[in-house]
Amino acid sequence: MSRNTQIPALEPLMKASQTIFNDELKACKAQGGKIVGYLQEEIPEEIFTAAGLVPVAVRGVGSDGTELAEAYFRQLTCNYVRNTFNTILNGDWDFLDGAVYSNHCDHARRIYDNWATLPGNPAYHFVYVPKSIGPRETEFYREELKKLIEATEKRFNVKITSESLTAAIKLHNETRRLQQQIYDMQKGEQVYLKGSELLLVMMAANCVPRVRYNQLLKELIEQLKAVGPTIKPTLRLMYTGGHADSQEFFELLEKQGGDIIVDNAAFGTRACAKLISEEGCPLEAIVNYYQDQKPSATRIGGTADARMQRVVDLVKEYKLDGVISARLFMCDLWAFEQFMMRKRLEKEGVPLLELEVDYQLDGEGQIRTRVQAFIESILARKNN
Amino acid sequence: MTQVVEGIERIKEYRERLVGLLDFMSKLPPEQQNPVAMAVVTMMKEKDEQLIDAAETGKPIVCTWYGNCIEVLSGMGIAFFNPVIDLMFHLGLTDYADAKECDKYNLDDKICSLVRYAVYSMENKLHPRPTCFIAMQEPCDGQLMLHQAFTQLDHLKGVPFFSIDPSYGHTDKDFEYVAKQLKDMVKFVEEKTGVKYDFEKVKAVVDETNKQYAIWAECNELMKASPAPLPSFAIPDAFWPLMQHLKVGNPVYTKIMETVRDVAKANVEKGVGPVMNEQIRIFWPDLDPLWSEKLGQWLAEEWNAVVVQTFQGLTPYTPVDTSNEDAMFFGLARRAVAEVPMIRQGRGWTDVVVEDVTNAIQDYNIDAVLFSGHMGHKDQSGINYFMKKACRDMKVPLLTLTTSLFDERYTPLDKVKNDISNFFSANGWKRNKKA
Repeated sequence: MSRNTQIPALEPLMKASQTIFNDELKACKAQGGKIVGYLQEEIPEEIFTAAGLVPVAVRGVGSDGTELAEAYFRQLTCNYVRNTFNTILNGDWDFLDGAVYSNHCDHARRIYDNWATLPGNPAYHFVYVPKSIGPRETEFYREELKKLIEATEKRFNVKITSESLTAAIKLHNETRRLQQQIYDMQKGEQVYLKGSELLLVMMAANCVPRVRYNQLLKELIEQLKAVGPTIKPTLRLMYTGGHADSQEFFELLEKQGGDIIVDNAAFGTRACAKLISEEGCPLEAIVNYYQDQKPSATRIGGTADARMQRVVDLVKEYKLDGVISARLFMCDLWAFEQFMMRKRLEKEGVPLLELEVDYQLDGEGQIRTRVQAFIESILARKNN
Repeated sequence: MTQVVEGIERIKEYRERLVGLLDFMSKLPPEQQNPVAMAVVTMMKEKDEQLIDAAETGKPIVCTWYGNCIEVLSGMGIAFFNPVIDLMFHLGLTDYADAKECDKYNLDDKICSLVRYAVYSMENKLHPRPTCFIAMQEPCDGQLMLHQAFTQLDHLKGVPFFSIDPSYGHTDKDFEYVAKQLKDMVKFVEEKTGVKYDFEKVKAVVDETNKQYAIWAECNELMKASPAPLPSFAIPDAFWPLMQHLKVGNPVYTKIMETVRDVAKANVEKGVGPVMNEQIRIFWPDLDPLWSEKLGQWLAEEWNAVVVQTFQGLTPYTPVDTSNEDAMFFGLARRAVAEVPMIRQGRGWTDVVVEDVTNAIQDYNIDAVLFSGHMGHKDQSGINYFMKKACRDMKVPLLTLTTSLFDERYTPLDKVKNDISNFFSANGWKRNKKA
């Protein structure tokens, strides 16, 4: 069963998530807003908000190729990075007032080095995020964030205070609470959003000014609740992977007869699973959240058990029939994540489909066939 | 008492093969004998014997990696192993048997060959179960993840795990951060192995490595001469295992290195070298490939060309101050994250790569740069612009290949040779008429 009623709040969110300089950002810019691009997941967006800036995740959505980027990145670099850098060279990110990068992976960290060579580039700071967790790493990360604050204050001639940080934490926590509500609505036998809708709504948090996003999300929840859960999944699946953000890709997964109910994506459940403490020193709360409390990124040493357990827990919590994981060609982090996930999910008896994909949807037929076969095998098992 | 230990069979196989190899080498006519190669093989055999003894008598064994300050484990007298060193050394002696098995291993084949070997060998129990792991989180994603993967293998569940976070920069603050972790590592090793750390013993090892790195620096200086006094890749190929893979700080290594230096020195004084009509002096900005000997020989015969320096050989190795413990750990931290090859160039921003390439071209009078384009070095795939610019600024031609440093089958050597020949020809160099 599908939804027959229009949900007006869906359209602006989904549209914004598929466009680099979207209408929401254009409106913000027209009102004198300043926008900072950053690598999503481990750089605290709250710091930019506290500085009165709008944080936007830099990515290559809508990219029309990698020709320009080839002079900077060889074929061993993943297509997310090459497409993203192509959009940078294409001028698609010229509206940015600043950009901050981190050492998230071997591919993405080189965007910073290369971007910094371009005339008039907005890249003004690099954050080293430790590759493991512990007291020494926390101490180092705290110092890194202090440097980020200092660099941001200097570039934009602003002061980031405890009060502005606390206000930013509250604003971003509000987002997380609303997103948690969205995910709660996906737990029933019938759900409110298709997987493609869910994932794009989540992605929109990274490219729509936060106050506006929260407003749209509230409206979305109200409108969805008014209509009720209208989608009855044939199979309940989870998407997990790195960097996929295109509508076509998520639609391709769900068109084959399974429904993505939930995700384990950096911009999805991992972004809203925990709240930042609103008590005490706000910088300390941000440090603790990003280092110790938030579900870890794939790359964080010593967290593999917790990461695998989180996947298993999501399977149980959302009563899932299987997991679809997708890694980008050349991505070592997710190749290993799939390697470990395969072992763990096999023990748990959870079907897993491992895909290797390009950032821009390619080899559609092959993906379709593999997803179809996966769904058929689960259905056959269920029917027996 | 000797115990039967799972995972030790392969180490015994390695030892037996090395015994045979040594026997073969010792029976060669004196003019064909290579005392340096024999010494390195002997040291490898002794490392295997120490590992077998530790496994059979219940002594602690640590699984670690180069760049993890193995000076500390050596000084504490603990048996240790790196999961890929023996495997890679024996590939050439076994017709790539493990590499062929590894082809079937269900881990993405676009991950670095070396990283794949490591996980394959641990999963297939080609080593005794270690008492603990010391993980390396640099310089690449593959290294970072392989240690995580170890912890998810059933038979290794519960093995204690310590990891060193490397930071990104080259400031004293970065090195202090790593030095603190090295001290934590010592406590971890003491606790898990029951072996006491003794500053004087570790200091003795580090002092010896200081001497050895000084000899290495002398050899590098000698390679600036033309003709180069030693063959392509010879110095880093011989010295790297002694300094980072075997039981480091052994005075026997110092003698081996002195022998190499003396040969080089004598050749420079006589104005001779293995390629007398030296036409092309090459810089190889990466680790030496496992197939370095074949490539080097061909370059010499076909093009009168010599690889005079590589990233594996070109690194400052600042002497470590051992006057007190804090100074020593600071120096070891700097060595580990800012001087050990590949980690030095791959861990942080591109400035070090540019600096090293520029300096090498200038100091070694380089005519051409051959960039391996190793399939595992994803970060290097993003330094294309910088490598081209550095070479262009220095007016030296650059050839970027695509290879696996650790698996010569990835890009067949004939294809590599063909690409290099086309590049040399296009730049106006002439083939050796004798070839």
